[in-house]
Amino acid sequence: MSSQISFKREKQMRKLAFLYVLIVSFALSSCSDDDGDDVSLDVPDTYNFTRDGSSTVSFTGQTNRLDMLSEIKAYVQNGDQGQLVEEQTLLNMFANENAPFSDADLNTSGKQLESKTFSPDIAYYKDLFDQVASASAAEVASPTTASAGVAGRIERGTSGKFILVDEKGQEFTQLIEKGLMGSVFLYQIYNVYLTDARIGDDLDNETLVEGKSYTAVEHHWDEAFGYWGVPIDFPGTLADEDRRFWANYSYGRESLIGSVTKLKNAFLTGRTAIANDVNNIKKEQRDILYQEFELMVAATVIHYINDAVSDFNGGDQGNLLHHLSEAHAFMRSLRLSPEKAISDDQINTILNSDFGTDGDLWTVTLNGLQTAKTTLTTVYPSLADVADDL
Amino acid sequence: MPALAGIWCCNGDNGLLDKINDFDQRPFLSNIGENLIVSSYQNLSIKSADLESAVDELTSNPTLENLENTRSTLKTARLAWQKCSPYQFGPAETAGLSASLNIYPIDVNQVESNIASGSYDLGISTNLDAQGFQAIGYLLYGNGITQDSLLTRLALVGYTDYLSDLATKIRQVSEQVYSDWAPATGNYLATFTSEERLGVDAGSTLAQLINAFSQDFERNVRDGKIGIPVGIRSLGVPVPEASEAFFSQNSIELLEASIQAYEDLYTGLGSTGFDDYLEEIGATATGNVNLASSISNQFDAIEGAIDAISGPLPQAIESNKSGVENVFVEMQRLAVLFKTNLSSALGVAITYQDSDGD
Repeated sequence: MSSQISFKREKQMRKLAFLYVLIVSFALSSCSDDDGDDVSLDVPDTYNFTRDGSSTVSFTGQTNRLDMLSEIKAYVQNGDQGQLVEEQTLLNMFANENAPFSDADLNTSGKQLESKTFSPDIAYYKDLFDQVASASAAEVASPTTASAGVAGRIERGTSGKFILVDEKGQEFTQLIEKGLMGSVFLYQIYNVYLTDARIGDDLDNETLVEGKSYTAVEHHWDEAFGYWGVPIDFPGTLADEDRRFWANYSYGRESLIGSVTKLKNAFLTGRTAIANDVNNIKKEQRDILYQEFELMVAATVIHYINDAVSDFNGGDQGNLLHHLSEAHAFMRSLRLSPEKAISDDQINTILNSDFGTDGDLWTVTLNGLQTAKTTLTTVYPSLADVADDL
Repeated sequence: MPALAGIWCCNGDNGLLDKINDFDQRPFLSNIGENLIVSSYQNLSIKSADLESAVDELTSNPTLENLENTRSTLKTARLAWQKCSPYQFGPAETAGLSASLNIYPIDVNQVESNIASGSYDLGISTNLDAQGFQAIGYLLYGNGITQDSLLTRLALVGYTDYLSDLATKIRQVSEQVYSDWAPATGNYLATFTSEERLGVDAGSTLAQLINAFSQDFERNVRDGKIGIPVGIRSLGVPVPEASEAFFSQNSIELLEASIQAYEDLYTGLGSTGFDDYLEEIGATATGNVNLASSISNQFDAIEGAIDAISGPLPQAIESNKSGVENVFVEMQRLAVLFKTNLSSALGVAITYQDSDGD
């Protein structure tokens, strides 16, 4: 039998280890769902939730889309290796048409990325598919070393690893992979699954979805969790196959800002609150998710700015472009939260001025990188103390 | 996980962990901060001002005597830089010190095109390989042109302006970094030695220092000074024009100064250094040998390998390639001792390789 812990003593949860937890709500008063101050919840330490002995957790659609993006990334990387990337193949993969994936289950999954993409960004990605196809075809025809104003391939340091970049030095693989992590995964978390339309207080959180063991609200919360991509048992370090997308970057930010711990606690506590119909705790945890996802993304941008500063100081143009392309794509993800602390103007200034004139990474300066970092630590003061170590 | 420290109670002898925690980092960091870092930056600041003055003299009066004097100040400034190279973090990184001083090989075409156009921004990344000591070396030594042509060229306004701009930037950035570190001005020294940055965690001074010098040693000393020119990254085909000081032809002297700088850092210049730290915690390397002695012996091995080659590096590569490769091999051994043995013995995580894995 598990012990009772107060929500306010959440930190102590870390000390408690139990395999199975019965979700019980003791202190709920009969008259109000919002009487949360007196509520004690049994929050499990893994993302396992059950009803009458059956799991109520399901997010296979999200995992499918993560797998699709893995295949897209691997395909775009052919361009980094000097091989042809075809636009139609990318369009097929984006829309899951014409059985484009090597994993046959994905082809028949009925899921796709394009329809879940932040719609104003769809044209941006299709344009990138067109550009990477052209640039890769040009490389196949006549290999060109990338330089200011000239698309081509460039080596990262002396690693023997090359990247294919556009005429502004932006790396297609990063723009597409990191970009879609934002425009699909984060966008869906922020603007679909955690919204009142999907998990709001007025929704029916009693009736089970037909043929399922979960309510619609529970399921929506789980779908947000699924896009995060962290295994349900929150391992200390990620296995190789889980080292991707937001899970990877959350773990990367754990040691300095505790991203995994904070997001994990919020997902677990919020999900427990939904199962117990405690709306105010659900909303508190949702707010934490918005805040911590945004901080994790901002901290990741700073991480790549730091890498870029190091590359600049080492005269390593290839890695400079690579890391700035990462920073650029993560920066674009900051646009997507409806509750974001940073303004659109600040984002545009960083993307189109601090990270080079009109985003031309060849024109970036150390001053510009410092300015971007200062903007981020001003908007996110909790990152100021760790900014140089990220 | 830091949280564990508060939970687990002491259960007998923790061995090395206790010893790591017992070592008082304060005198160690003070010594490195004051006697190695700040004094090296002060020296660089002085020597780069000397270089700028000499360049001013030369550009207003391009005589052979002024040329030789400027060449001599260039060499002195370069030697001063070797002592600073291990400390490229904090103010140096923010100011872009290494980016302004010592990116090589330079792109001669980019230098000539900047001179021809007279319009350039030395702050943007495309000009990283068109500035610094080696670009000045190119202008002071030429590339196979006669001394007379060189002096004639140095009387042309495009060349004199560019040379002055390069020297001024080196002086400004060097002064900036010294000023940021010096106790009387920016006092980054206080940050470096502060109580809250003691320890071995990410964000500690020790972690910052070890990551910075280990990366510098690997990237700029092992690879930059020897590995890349001798062909380690090009399937064994030498790239002599990638040598440091390619035009002035004193790369081996700079390498020796660089190794000396690392040895000074390691021994703490006679006061508390990494050797004392390792001895005090009883650190061992593979095979249970004393790590401090292993590192110390490895410095000797590198110096022995360097003594076995002679002449400017491109010639040494030509005449005694295996001797040069041997220098690389001995430096590689030291790189491993720094990055693997020393860092793990002190409990510091190496973080400069992209932890996000791509």
